[in-house]
Amino acid sequence: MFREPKKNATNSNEQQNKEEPEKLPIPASKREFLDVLKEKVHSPADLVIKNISATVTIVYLDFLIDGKILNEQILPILEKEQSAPPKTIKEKLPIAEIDLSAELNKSVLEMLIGAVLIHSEGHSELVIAKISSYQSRGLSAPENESQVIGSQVGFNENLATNISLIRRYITNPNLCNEKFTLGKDTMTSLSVLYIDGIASEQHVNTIRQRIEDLDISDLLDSAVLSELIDDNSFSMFPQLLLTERPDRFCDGLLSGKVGIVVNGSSMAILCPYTFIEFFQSREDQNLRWQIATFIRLLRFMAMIISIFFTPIYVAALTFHYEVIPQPLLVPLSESRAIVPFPPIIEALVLELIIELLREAGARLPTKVGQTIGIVGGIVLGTAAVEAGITSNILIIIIALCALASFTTPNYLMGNVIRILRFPIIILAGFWGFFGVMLAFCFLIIHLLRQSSLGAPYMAPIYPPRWKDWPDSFIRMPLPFISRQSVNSRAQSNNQETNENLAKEEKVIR
Amino acid sequence: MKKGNILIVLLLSCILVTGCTSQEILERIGLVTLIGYDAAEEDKVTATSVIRQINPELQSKVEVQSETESTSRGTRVKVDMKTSKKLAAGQLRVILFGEDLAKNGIEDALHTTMMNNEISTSIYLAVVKGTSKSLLEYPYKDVTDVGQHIYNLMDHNIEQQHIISSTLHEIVRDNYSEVRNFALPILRKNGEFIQFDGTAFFSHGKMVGNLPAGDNFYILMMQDNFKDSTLELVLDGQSIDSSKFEEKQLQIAIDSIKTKRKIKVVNPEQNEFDLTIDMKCRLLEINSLIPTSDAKLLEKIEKAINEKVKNELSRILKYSQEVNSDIYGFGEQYRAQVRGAKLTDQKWREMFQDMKVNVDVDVEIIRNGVFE
Repeated sequence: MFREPKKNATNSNEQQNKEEPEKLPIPASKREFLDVLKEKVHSPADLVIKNISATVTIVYLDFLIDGKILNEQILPILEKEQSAPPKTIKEKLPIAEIDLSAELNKSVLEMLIGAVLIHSEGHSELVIAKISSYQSRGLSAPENESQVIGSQVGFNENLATNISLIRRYITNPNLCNEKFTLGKDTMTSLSVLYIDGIASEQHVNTIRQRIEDLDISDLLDSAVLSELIDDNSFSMFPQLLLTERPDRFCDGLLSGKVGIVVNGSSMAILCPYTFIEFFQSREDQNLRWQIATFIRLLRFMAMIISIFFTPIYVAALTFHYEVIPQPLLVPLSESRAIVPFPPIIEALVLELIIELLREAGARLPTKVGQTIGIVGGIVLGTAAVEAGITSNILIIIIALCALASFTTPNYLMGNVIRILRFPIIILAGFWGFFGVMLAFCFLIIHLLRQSSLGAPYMAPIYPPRWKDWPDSFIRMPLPFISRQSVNSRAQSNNQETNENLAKEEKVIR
Repeated sequence: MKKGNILIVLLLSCILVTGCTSQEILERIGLVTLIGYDAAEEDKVTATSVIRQINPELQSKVEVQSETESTSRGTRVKVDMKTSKKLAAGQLRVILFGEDLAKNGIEDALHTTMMNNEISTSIYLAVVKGTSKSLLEYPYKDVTDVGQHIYNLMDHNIEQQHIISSTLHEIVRDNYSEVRNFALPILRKNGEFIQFDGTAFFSHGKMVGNLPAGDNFYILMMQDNFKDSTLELVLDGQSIDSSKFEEKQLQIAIDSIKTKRKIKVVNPEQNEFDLTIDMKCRLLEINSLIPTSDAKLLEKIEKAINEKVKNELSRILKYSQEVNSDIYGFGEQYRAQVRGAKLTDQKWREMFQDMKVNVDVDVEIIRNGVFE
């Protein structure tokens, strides 16, 4: 229902696309060439046209090219070679990426990426010298996925830098890189990366096809792409992982996943991903296995607490006073005694306040952000209890739930867990434990129905993949863990090649 | 379109069905933590409820309300008319029966309690010497919440196996069995305290007799296996070592007692049972004149304990046969072990009274001289 109209749209657009690229020849005369070119790019302010001699003209966009190379490698040679044919110029210039083109549209595109066009009077051919320079920020530590032990480098917004980072991690001729360009208006380039022989052919094909089927006007971030190509756009749960850690990305590639890096986005996509893997962190592999297991179990416990603790409180206080243990009875009811609202309203209001604080904290500049913590935590919390609007036991529960939801290593998953509480609290307020159970069943059914690139989302729990259990809720010592999960393993390769690859990886590392 | 319809139906049912469940918000109800039933005139029942009231301004307090009506539900309606909050019995922990009511029979009360789905089956039952009303309404100096006090009192004593376990579940199980009777602990007001005063024997829902608290240990030993307990015994001093020990009585204390009970039907026709009790214990206190390192002497002590325990058991068995209350499950054992026994209520009643039990006690002192 959602995808069908899109397909129609693609078909009609393909027809348009076929008509559009008419091949424009390059005018031989200098004046004509410049006129056509200016018309094509609407003569922007940063267009630089430089007459080297009476016959040779160079055109480029300022700030997009490397001025040093232009000054030192191109200009001196061009000045020597007065009125040479493009072929000679191409041979003479000591630049690696240099090309000849007789087609204007393509040349203009190259210029927009960062090439110098060299026109020679009387020739309907251009020399394209690609000396683009990227303005990108330096590599810095990943902010959203920080880890204590392990590498401290994150992706930046530059595709080339990101791919070079990945190549530095995985020196392997089997690392495949397929380039795509998406977005009619932005022409964003993106790379699909996978390791041939480890990644499943089926998943690579799925990704390829989903990207090719896309017809979008613009693509500014990989998060948008991940929503466009996932399996179920209506689910709250993220199905593809967005990561800003190159080590996590490479870890995924080596375990047979397919990765996508988008130019202009510091987050790379990894797929297929399972529900359990969202609760794992790269750091788990850097810690001793006992500690990593403890931390993983803690995270799962935190998730369950975070989703169900407040609803259970609401249900127990509204309908099921029988289940409250006797020692808790008096403190609970005394703290609730002056609260004028029923538990459901009280809980919803407090949860909303926590969400407000979180959102305000995320949007404010870091310097002001600290004040929010003080205002929210101390002023609001204590004042609300003293004014008798909420009970202090609920404040403890809500704070615990909020804290627990932040232990999820993945920000997107953490968001889901926080939002999920609201409908369950409402159900608990309506129907008590029955409502909580209903929500629980609905959640389980929903999760079981999800898939990521067609691979089951709840693996290895269901379908049971016993071989993957050592690296799921727990982390067994590394020799017990099979490097490639059953979910994303290539079907053709047998155990032997897998082991060989694993050995190679170890040598490389 | 179809999907949309289903969604609307779901949403509507969410809102409409919500009205069907009755809310019982914790601080807006009065929690009944204890109920005492007493017999009143003309077959009526007096119910005394201990209600925990949550008060926002003052410290929360405990209210004791008492009403007389012919059914327990009727008393609840009457009490409801006197309290500011709706009463709810879900947190009920203990039910007490006055002595008179217990003698008239408590089967009906048990039945109605079981039928009430609010009430848990793990609540405790007990009999009160005198009326429960007077026990509950007395303003004890050191007890703020009489309901919680009695619950804690029973809870830890049952945990330590000082009194027989009397949860609603166990009592009703014994009561519904045709060939078994139940017993309840007896509570008594003693000045400023509430204390245990023995065990009440029931036969067919009616209290028929009682034994003092000192016999609890032996009753429990015959009812079930024993995990851990302490016992003080008075042995015949002459039989141990007449040369060193001149006094007639030797007082000893044993603890860490573990017993295993076995009932075996030896002769179904003659109605003859073997009751074997294996007891392992630790000697804790003994007169300092007796050298505990002497193995022979210890053997003598073991024998003396054997004799003592055996006598006590036989005495208690004889008493329960007199009042015709099989609280140990001899009937159940008979039915289980004898093929085609076809025991009925009436038949077992007669059989129990003239059954013969060979009591055999085997005491083993596994450690001595442990100084704590």
